[in-house]
Amino acid sequence: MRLSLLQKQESAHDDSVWAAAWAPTGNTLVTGSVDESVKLWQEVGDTLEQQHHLVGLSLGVLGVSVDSSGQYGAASSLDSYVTVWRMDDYNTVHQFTNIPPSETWGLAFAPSSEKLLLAVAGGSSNSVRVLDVAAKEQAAQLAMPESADKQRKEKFVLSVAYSPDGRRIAAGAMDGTVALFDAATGKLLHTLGGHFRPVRDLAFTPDSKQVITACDDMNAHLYDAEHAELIEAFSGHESWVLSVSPHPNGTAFATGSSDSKVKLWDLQTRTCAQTCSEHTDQVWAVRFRPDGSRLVSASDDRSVCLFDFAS
Amino acid sequence: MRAAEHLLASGREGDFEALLQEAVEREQQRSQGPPDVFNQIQALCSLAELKVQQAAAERDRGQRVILLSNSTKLCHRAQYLNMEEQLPELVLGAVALAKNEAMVARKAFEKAMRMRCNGRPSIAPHLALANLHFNQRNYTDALRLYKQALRSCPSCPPEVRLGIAACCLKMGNTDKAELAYKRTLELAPDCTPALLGLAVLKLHISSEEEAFEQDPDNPFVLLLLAHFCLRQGFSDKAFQLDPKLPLPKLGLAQMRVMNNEPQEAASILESVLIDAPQWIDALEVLGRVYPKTTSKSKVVPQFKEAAALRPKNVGLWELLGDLLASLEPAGALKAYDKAIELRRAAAQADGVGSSHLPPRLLNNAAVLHLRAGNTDVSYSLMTQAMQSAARPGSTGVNALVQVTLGYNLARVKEACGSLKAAEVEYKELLKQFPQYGDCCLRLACIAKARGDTKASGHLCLFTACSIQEAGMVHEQVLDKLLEQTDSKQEMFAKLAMANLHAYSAPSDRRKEDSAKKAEVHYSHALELYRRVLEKDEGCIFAANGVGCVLAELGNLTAAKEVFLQVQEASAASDGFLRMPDAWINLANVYLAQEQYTAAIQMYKNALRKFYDNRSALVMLYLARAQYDADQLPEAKCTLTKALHLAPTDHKLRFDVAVTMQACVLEWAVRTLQKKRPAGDPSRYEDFRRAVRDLEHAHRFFQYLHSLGRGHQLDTRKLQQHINFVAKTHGKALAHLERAREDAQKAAQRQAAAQAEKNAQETSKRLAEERRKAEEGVQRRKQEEQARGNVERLRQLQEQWRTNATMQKAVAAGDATAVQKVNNDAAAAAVNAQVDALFASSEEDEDYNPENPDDLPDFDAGGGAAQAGAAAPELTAEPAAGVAGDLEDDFDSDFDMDEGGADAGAAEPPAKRAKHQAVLDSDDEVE
Repeated sequence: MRLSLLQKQESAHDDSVWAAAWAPTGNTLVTGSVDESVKLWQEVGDTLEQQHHLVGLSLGVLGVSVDSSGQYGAASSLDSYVTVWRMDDYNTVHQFTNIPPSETWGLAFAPSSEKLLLAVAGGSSNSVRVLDVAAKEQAAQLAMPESADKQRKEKFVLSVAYSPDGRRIAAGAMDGTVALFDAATGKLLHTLGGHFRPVRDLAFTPDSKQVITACDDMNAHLYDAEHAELIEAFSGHESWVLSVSPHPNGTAFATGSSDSKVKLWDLQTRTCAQTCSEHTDQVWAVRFRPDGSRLVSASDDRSVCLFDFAS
Repeated sequence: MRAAEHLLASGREGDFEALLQEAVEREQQRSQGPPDVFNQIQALCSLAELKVQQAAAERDRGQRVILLSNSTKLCHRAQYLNMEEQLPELVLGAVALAKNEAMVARKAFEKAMRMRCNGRPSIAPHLALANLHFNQRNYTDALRLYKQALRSCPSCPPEVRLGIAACCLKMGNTDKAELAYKRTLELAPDCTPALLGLAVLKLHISSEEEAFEQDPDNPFVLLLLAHFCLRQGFSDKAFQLDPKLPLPKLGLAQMRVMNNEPQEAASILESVLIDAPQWIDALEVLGRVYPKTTSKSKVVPQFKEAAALRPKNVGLWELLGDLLASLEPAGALKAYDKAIELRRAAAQADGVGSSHLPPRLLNNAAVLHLRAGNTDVSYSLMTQAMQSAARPGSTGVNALVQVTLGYNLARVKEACGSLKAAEVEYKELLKQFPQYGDCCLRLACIAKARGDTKASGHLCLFTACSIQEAGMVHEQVLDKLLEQTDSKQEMFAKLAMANLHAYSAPSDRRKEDSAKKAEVHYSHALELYRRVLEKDEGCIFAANGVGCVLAELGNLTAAKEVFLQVQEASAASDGFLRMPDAWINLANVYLAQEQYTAAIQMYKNALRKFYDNRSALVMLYLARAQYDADQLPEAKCTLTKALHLAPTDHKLRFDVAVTMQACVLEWAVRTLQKKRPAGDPSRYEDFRRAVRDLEHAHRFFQYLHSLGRGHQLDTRKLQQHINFVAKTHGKALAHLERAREDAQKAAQRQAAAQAEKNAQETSKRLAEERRKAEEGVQRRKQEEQARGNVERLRQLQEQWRTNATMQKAVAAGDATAVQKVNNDAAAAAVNAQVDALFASSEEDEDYNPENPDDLPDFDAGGGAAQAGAAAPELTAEPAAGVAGDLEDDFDSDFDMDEGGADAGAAEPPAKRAKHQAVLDSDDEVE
């Protein structure tokens, strides 16, 4: 397996790029930045071309997501607003403005379901909010587990992910707590132990059976989601691991880190297969395209890199 | 032949060779008579042996090979003459030895043992084989052979007994060795080796000299002993005879070394080197002595010169590396790299891999590379060291060294980020050696890095040495430390004590007694720093501390000087001394001196260089500098990024809100100064943005206030902010409304203009109609006139008059409308001006600048406030008047733990010093 750089889009935004997401089809990429805007890109002939520029997301964009139908995009910004727009005409569908400050962070659309549901990491509310976009209201609020552990003090939910089969929601917090919920009932199923530092990103493997986390402790952990067991800790980054993205075929995953590196890990041998040093500053987001043939990475150096993935 | 032997005895090798050549040739030519086979063989073998000796002395590889092959040929010729003759086989053995083929040599000697020398038995092969065994440290066999030789030839030369003695000595049978040596001396009273051996023996028994025991195979140590023994009785006398002569001095120094007085030895050697600079022997001895002394080397430059003059001398470079390791790590690293390069080249020339490099050298270089931050290089070196140590037969690798290597490898892996592997290895080591404190410490560090403070705490307790709690170290503990004599620890303790003093000085010095207290603490700290610096002038931690105290005492210029020097020193160390604190402190001083550009630059550099751009605290400082430099959007952006990194930091959220509030105020002022034309359409958008920012600020303040006591922010201050923002927001909303109206009115005016246009068109049309009507009227009039009806004419005239009045009315109506629009626009502009003053014309006294009507004054007032606020943590002089009030609200509100800023910067040295200590304990193989 190998990543090769196709394009480095310098100055993709006016400032640090913090978030990235691919639309399920059509090679459309969404990026969010501290420059208070979201950009939509189209990959044409191995290069990214800017399609649209959505502005006015105050204080910077923390997370972006595109729903499974590819019709809607969503972004959460540091002013704690969650904005949902239509991907075809870029018009805002709804803006959730009534969530208290510091109670939104990362977000993820639910895989195909009847309702258009959006899970939002609840920041200092120490919970995950599930928003019903069509009804423009909160559908559920999943509370993170209470921990008696004294060293887990910072209650702040940073990251959230849906399993591809839609049955589970995973969330990571500042104090390293990783919780697993049943998406349908909102019941807390497990707590995945092993991290004590902020878990800034996490994702399910394509079979929905495992969870991979990115943590400030310089490790990425692979957990068995059903039995809540730590399978493997991947160490190799020289600083915080900020982002993680499993490959759609389940053989590999990529991580981005504060050490400016993007690493590709082999899930079979459980070793680092490749280290890419294209960026000059922290890599806040890595995302495989749903067809698995591309990887995109976004960084504090304002650039976005497009890689080809060959297995 | 006899003549030849004479020649050899008199040292004329050339003649000897020529004569032998001639003898060999002559024997060949002599065909008649019974050939003197043995003579011929003897001549051939002598010649061959000579060639072997020449080969052994020959430096050039190619030449050596030629000589050896010549010798082999000669031997084969001799063998051809008599297959049973012993001599050629012996020489062949010698050839094999010279080629470093011990096995071949042994076989040759063993074969020779079964042969005879000119028909008689000879002990020569026994001796040769014994020697070989001895050299291979196969002392039992050697001894057996020597004894065999002695038995078969009791009248043999004393060397045999010497061999026996040496074997006994090596085997630890000192009594027998002594007997053998004494017997040898009886036979040959002036046999130096016997004397030497005896001396060594005596020394060995009497003082159990460690060096010899530790490394009996090191020719240098033997040499040293030899030097010593030779002069044992004389060097003192010799020294008295001629105090200037360096050789006896060297002997004396060596004696000191033997007596375990490295300090004295070093001083003697130093004086030797003054008389005879660059004397390589003395330098080498000194290089080995220094690590045992505590003093600083004065001859480092000489070492460097010597090494530079002998770029091929691996040992010297290694020695230089060892010597510099503690003083000048960058130089040491260069020396080690050079040594490795030389060794590698040599290994390549010998056709062996780089795994044949000495593990000690590789390890030391790896440790230094790790300290320099080159983790990758360090890792590869360390792996090589492990390979090299694992290779069978590598010298100087015992179990202990293996452990050290294992620890270092784990340490390097940890630095490379392979935490898991490192953890496993540390644990493995701990299993073998439960007392290995360093392993515990590193495991604690890993746990701490992972954030697992519980596990880390346990481990720390276990080692009874917690890095994290360094700041809490009790003074009593430090006092105890100070009582200990070890100078390194003393320095550390003093440093820590000084930091403690600097740290415990109250940051709030408005009250008199606390000011006094602070002064006492600072003077204590300064004194301690000064003492540390006296001992070690290059101690940048102490220098940094001095800078901090100076800055705290308000002597900013001096502090800046100190910080600049610290920064330079750390930059000059090639990354060995990392001192981000100096950068931050320097930036803090710049900030206090209102040199914002320099401060901002310094913070940015420090962030990039030392913190991977991910220290929320430094970003907070940077934002403060940007805020003070009036770069509000930049400040906001920096704060946003910091908040992104540390979302639970309430201070950051508060500052973001304060900055947004300031952004709005600044924008309001700027907008007013620009005096844009009323009805500018972009104005409304700007207002909307300002209102949005205010809303966010309000939301943030409200949120923080709702947190209650959990956030360590001043609740009263928060409430003030909330009130202020709320009021401003109210005004802004009103203003927004007005701006909207303004925009609406502009639209209305446009509509009115349109209406006017329409009206004009209407009137035009009317006029047209009228004209048409007139025409019609005239036509009719003409008709009427033609009819000549006077009454109708009067009626028509009346109608015409009414039309005129109507027209007039329309015109008048237009005029009032236009005037009205104009009036409205003017009023809106005035309102806008007044309202944009919402910030300055605020009734609340806290926000009231001196002259609410004078716009430029507001700006200046703000500037003064910012200027006054930059220094509060250092000068602590309350700014007078309204500006002071303002400062209270906007600038010290910019919460960055003012007291903590410098104390925080002063604290890390302790941590770092500890870290340094930990690093130092990364054992180097000695």
